[in-house]
Amino acid sequence: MHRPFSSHRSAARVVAFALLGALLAAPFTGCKASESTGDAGASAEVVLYASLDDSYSRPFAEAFERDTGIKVKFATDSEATKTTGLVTRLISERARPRCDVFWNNEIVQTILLKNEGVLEPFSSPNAADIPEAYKDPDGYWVGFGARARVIIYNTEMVTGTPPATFEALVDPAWKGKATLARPLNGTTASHIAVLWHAWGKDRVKALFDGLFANDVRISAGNAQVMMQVAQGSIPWGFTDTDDFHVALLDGKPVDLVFPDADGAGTLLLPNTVCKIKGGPNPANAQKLIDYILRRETEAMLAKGRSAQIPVRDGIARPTGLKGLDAMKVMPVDWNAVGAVFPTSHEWLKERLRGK
Amino acid sequence: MNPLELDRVTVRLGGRTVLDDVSLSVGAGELLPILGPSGCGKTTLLRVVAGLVRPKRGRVTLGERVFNDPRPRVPAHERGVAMVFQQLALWPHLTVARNLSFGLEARKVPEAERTTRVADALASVDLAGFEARRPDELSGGERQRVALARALVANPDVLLLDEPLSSVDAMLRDELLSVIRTVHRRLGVTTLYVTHDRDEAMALGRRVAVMTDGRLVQVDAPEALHRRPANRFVARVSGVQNVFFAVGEDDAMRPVPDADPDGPAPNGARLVAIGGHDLELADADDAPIEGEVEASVFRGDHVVVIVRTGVLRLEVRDAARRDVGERIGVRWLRPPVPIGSDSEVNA
Amino acid sequence: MSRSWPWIAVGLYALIALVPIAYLGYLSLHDAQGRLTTAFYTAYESSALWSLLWKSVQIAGGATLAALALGAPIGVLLGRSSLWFKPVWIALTVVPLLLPPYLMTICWFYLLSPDGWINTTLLAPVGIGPIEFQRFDGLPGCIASLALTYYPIVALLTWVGVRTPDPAFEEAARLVRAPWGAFRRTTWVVARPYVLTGAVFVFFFSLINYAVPYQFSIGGILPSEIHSQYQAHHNHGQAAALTVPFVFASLVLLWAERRTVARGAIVRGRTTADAPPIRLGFAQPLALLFAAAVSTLAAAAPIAVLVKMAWPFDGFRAALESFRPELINTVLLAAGAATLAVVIAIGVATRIARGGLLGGTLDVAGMLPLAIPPMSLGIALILVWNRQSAFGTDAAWIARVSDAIYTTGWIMLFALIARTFPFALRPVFYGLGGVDPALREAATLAGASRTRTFLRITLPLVWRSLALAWFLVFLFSVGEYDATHLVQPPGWAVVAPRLIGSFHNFRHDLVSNNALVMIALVVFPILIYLLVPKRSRRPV
Repeated sequence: MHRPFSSHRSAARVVAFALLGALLAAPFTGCKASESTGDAGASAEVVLYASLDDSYSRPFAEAFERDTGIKVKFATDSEATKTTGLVTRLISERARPRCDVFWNNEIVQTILLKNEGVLEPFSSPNAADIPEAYKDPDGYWVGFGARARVIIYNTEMVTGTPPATFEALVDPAWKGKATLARPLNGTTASHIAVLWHAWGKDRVKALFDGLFANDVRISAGNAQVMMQVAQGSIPWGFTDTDDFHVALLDGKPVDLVFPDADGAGTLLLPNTVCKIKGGPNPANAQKLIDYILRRETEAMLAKGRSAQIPVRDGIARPTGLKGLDAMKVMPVDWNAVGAVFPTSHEWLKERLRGK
Repeated sequence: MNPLELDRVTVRLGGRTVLDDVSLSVGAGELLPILGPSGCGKTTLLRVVAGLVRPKRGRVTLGERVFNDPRPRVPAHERGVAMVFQQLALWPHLTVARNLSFGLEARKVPEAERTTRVADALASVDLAGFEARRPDELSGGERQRVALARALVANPDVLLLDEPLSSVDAMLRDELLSVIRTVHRRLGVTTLYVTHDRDEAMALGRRVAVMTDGRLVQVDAPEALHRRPANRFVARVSGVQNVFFAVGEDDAMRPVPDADPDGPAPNGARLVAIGGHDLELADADDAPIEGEVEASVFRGDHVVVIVRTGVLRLEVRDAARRDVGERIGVRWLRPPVPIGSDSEVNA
Repeated sequence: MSRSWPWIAVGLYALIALVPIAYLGYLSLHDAQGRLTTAFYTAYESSALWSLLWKSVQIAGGATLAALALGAPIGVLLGRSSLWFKPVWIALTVVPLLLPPYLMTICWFYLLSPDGWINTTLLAPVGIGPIEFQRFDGLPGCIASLALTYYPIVALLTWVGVRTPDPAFEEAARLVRAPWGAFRRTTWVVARPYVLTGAVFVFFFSLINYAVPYQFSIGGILPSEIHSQYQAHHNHGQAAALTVPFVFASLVLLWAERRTVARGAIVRGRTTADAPPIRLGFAQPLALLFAAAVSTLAAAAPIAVLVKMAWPFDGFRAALESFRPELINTVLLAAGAATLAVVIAIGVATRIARGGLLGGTLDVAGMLPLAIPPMSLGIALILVWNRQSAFGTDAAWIARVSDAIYTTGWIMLFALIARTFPFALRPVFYGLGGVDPALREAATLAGASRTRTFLRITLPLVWRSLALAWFLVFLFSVGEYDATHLVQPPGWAVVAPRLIGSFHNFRHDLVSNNALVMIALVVFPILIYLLVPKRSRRPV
């Protein structure tokens, strides 16, 4: 295409760009652009980021709105999407925080957020009955409703005594019969970071030498571990209680073991709630946090498909997790685990290269 | 109607000078054929007038309206210029009627008037009743006429025809030429007609513009192009049969039989041209030029006798055939005219 | 098209896609305190990084070759042969694009699991197996998954490519050659740029894909390294520096594409109907078998898995109700992105066609989004649009512009357009290039403005290419979540991430019913379009 005339072109361009600007300034739809910015008490809404399945987040938001009259605007993400997710987003939004409250379904990334300076401390009366082990001494986060790292085994393939410790992975008796999720993501990454902190680097190193020598299958994630065990592809593996529970609900021939009952205990990874520094609705953020930390929330999580384990006493525990009452909980200093996480992650990446 | 003026128009495209300092006046209502070989810039000249190409220098005006100076002053779609493209450029997805009414719709002509004008335009090219056809349902000649009708329907101030007959056969061409001539006579629209065909150009125009290498070489009546071609190129494209070097003046002029007309000029000689009808045969002893009959060709109402003298071959118009090899003389009825070399412009 | 639209379109494209990409470049050269540094590039001194790159290229190269092997023959068969049941094959061909690659992989995990139907019913009785898709060690399974997901891109572009040239060329060649020889020497030559473009698309989508290699537990690839930089170290600068190989690879590939594909190969003007299809004769059963095999692997089998899960559809209403906002958002956003991307692509393609330095630059820049890993793109979009200050000022208008874009559906549209723009640009560019400029000039001289000329002359002549562009962007947008979920404002949830989340939670009722609704939404219009009598669809 040639351009025979240039008269008025620059004027036309200015007008066109002005129109464009107006177009962009116009909200895409009216009601969705009405986000308030920083005007604390007056707003009637609160922004929640939740790495939580919609089957929980929606009823929860509806209940909160009903009880307080405050509208919850939420963005959710689940670890299943294999994306960098809400934590990365919160860090990227630091220049202008858009979120008030973050409900994380695990804990290590919450500590990374704390270390990145994204959070601000809070205190909630509803956290009073939560054990100190699940609360940040500095007040940046509170844990509740936890998942346990458990052994899932196929009852048709493991007919004798099932494995009962994490180190069964390196037991030659189970050579080629066990699987572990790639420990760079999700709760498996947290699990190894916990061990890194508890055992030290040398013992973790030895563990992985043993794992590879014992032909432990490295699966993509905990869901894949569960699926392969449930489908009879491999006898047993490590996964989370929520993954085990959906397999159980689906009628698969699976059972679980809470490992290391005689040793260090089973690792529990709680949900965490935290408050974003400089969020748009701080007053409502506090109300939402208080609401999340009610005992009812733990009860809801315990009853649902993910069968999460209340950290408080006196709340009905999920029924599908055999042996839960006898579980010994592994004590963890979470802030210390958060501090070693990048190091353990980097080491694992090198160790797993080519695997 | 207004006269169309091009004043020292220069166009450069892709680093090449396509039109070089071209000045041209086209009279109001004139039909001016532009004759030249392909690649000489004649299509570009049309596109400058249409506003599809932007000149580097020069002015284009239609009466009082300045089209280019050289910045475009009137955009193409407001010039009132219509064009028949070499490949016709009929819109394949529109019917004949929609092809014609497209421009009228753009100019907000009311529907009733559009219908009438489309019908009239189609009738003027003998295509009444073809409204509902699509271009791919038409023959070559019909498409040609639709393209012409599409150009005419908007009552343009200037009509540009870009080799419109280059892809039709000889019989159809005569028919279409007469359509174009008739239509032009009736509408009196200022028309530029680009062609590389001498007969088309000579048949259509009172004047013919001859172009080569981006320059306008001569604009003149067909007879004048023939009688006084500005240079060897014009002589050739306008059909002057005999071009040679000669010495002497007027009646004393004599050809230099050993000089190649395409070669350098011998001492004191200059290039001249003369048509075959301005030569006649005579006795070998009684004529300034003496030669030998190489061939005689029957041309319907006359015979062309080719006489060889030295390296020259002269074409002479005569009434009867001659025997090949016969010694014969040639003399002119009027003296040959001196012409410039190809590099000299004499418009 | 108005005179200034090419300029506006270029500006819009720069704003939506190039600014975030340029911002990644900025990030890669500045440390956390904003000081200029090249430290992030020292990663390239490590051989480990080059091994990541090599593995990524192996995956992408393998997937591209496999997608070509499946897609090009399908495209030719659909476009130019007398293959039976064409509408069925065409409809099935688009299905894989609708499903996030992740979902396709999971469907196959189900089909080829030890307790899956294929192993228990087909293979076990004859003593084979069990065969497990998930256990296809490393690359082969991953490459197969990517190829099955992305081969429709090659197939659709080939299909359009072989229908583009004036059939007279092929007919002329048929006088001296057998039909397939004539096809190869004429139409195929013209179609090649389309096929190659499809291959380039597949290469980059495979190169930047994280979820599918993840499914096969393939670590040590470039996208996983970028993921790790974000997730474990929150190191934006390092992650940005790691996108450089993608950009570099895209430049090399585009250069190669330009070298092999003569621009003049696009044949101008098309005035007659399609050439008669090439008769397959005795090859018909073979061709049918091939089409059926490919469609089964890539579409019918996953659909069968979904149908089996949803059967007997008693949870249909509830599933639909549960996904209603996401379904509406998805269709709205995909349609909006497709429309905007095509409209912008028209302007950008026009500017590219004018050539010059800007034209050449845009030609490359228009393909650049292909090379940017979606998570990097999503984060760049956040950093660019979510801000209080810019250009050294914190004037109120900056916050307002930020709000108007970042907290509304616009940011989703930006993300979708920034990811899918090459899909729109290439078909539009080739389509517009196929229109004889004289047709536009004739309209201009007839008195039509540029806008009218575009709407009344150019548009009807290139609708096929524009429709393809629209459709590709729409399809891809429906399945996109890698970039959009990072920027998704509250209230703009879409289907894809929820499908995956629900799958993860064994809510197969939700997954299957809604995935089927998505497929139906797209496949039925195609079938209806293909099955209406030809008479009402005049060729142009």
